[in-house]
Amino acid sequence: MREPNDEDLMARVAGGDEPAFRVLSERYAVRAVALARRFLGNEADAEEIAQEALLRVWRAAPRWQPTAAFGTWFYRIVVNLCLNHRRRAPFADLAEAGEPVDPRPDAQARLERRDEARQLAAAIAALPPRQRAVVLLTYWEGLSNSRTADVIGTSVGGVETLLVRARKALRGSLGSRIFSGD
Amino acid sequence: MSRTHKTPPLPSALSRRALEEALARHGSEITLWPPQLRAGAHALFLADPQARTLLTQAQHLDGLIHRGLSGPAAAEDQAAARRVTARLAARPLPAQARRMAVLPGWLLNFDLRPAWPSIAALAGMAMLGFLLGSHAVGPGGLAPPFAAQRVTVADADVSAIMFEPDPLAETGL
Repeated sequence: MREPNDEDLMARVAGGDEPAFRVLSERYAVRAVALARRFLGNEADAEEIAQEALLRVWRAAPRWQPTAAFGTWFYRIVVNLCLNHRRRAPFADLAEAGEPVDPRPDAQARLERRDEARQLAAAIAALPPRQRAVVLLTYWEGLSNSRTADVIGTSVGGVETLLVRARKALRGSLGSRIFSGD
Repeated sequence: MSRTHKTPPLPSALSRRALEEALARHGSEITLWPPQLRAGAHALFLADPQARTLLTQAQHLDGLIHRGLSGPAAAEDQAAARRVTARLAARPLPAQARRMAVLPGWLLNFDLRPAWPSIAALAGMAMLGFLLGSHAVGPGGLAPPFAAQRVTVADADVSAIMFEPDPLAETGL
């Protein structure tokens, strides 16, 4: 039997169908947490954002019009929550928690990867919020420029401009790593 | 007869600044660039070692971003998502924001949204009526060119012209 798509599930959620909402939540919770964690750099905040986004889906379902893909609408909720959250709370570095010593032979390579990821996360965190949103939606979520434009409420040209600025900024902040060729 | 072999013109090289702009806009995968831009970049690479360094750096940056922002969600993301769904399942969901839930179903089904085409047609007809009323219709009915028959001065019965009030009566003549 065919698995119901997001729009079918939303039609049921609009009628107050809680099991349909559970299925939709399980489908999108990981994406919401992952996107919010990369945006905010904080796991606890990301959980809070994901939960709030899913609750908003439930509350607003009866008024939802299937004019766009559910995913686009959902990402818009998550990004808006992140943008508002960001205005309240400063960024918390993911690497602040420290890391236990890893005795395995590939530990050095893993540490280097971890270090690289930390530098990238810090560089992305330093971007202005809309540039950060565009970078994450494009690279992490793999959305097209057109869908990214729908999510953040701008034109495709606007997304391209934000991406160009973001790439230039990342090149500037990750310069030492790029120049050393690591 | 010998054929003249025409060589294609060499593409003009990009400037280094234009290359940087193109790398930021299109990424470091040059095969995906527009052909004209790609040709200009290749011409620059032949002449300028610094340009090749810029390309290498852009490739490092793209690799770094792709490595950092691709692949499956991390284990901590999946654990956090499980906690979120568990919390949502553990407590009753809030009330949904229903539209005018107190109204009966037949009224909810009635589409109250403004029907713009109908409104536009109605406004158009009203405007047409206003124009006809103000310009095309005189006291005696439709004015030219709307009148069914045109009446020329020669055809008209001059004796039928009435002066109101009668100028002769006023002057006492």
